[in-house]
Amino acid sequence: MIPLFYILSICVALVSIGIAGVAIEKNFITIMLAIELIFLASTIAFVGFFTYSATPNASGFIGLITVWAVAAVEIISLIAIYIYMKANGFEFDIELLSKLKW
Amino acid sequence: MIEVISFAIVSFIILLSSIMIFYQKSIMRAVVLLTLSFGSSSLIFFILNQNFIALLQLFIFVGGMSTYLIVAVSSEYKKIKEIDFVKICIVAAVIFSAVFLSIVGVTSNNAVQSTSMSSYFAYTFENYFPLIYATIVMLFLTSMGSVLIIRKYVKLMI
Repeated sequence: MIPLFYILSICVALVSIGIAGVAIEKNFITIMLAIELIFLASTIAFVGFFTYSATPNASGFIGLITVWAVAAVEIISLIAIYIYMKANGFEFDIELLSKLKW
Repeated sequence: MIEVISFAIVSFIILLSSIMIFYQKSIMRAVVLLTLSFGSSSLIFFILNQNFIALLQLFIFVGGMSTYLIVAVSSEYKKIKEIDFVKICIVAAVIFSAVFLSIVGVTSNNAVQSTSMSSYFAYTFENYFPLIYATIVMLFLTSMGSVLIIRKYVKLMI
């Protein structure tokens, strides 16, 4: 019997690794991989909360499907944009994000 | 007890592979490590007795990872700057310590495992879940291995 505490600890650790990767990494595709880690943490949290809920119903499964759909659409659309911009010679400079610093 | 031990091993694999993603020079290895962490997460769902969700997790991320693999095979990936391994660990530890007690500490420690999601959706083939799971894992590993062999022996002109 695994406590809910352990599952949520894994989720928070994965989210923190993903946020650190988004904050530090310089490459576009690796940033996408870090965002995938955050989605993975959200799926684990959904399944954990469904498993340990006092009044279980199918709403956890609906949320899980939503997370999967968002992850898939996000991967495919962003990589299509990336390949299009590469093919047409646009510069995709991830360093411009550092303008958000204050 | 054996559940907790297996959960600890699988979660250690997940965390280690997800940290090592940012330490790879080749995006191919990074994608393979991300795939390892996704597969281990489906093992976590198995440990939680959510067999149906474990199957779906593998099914869906076959599609997602194949997209990444296409990009990884077709693109030249060079890192401009080397990312420091210690730096990313420190930032992740700071975020973890900031978020951990505020989120995880509040939730109930006495929650009891109630249901399996497969009881809602799959009455009929529930007994065959390990067989189907093994089949999907074998297919997925075969596809991954074929991509790796293509990557090694065939020069793709994309």
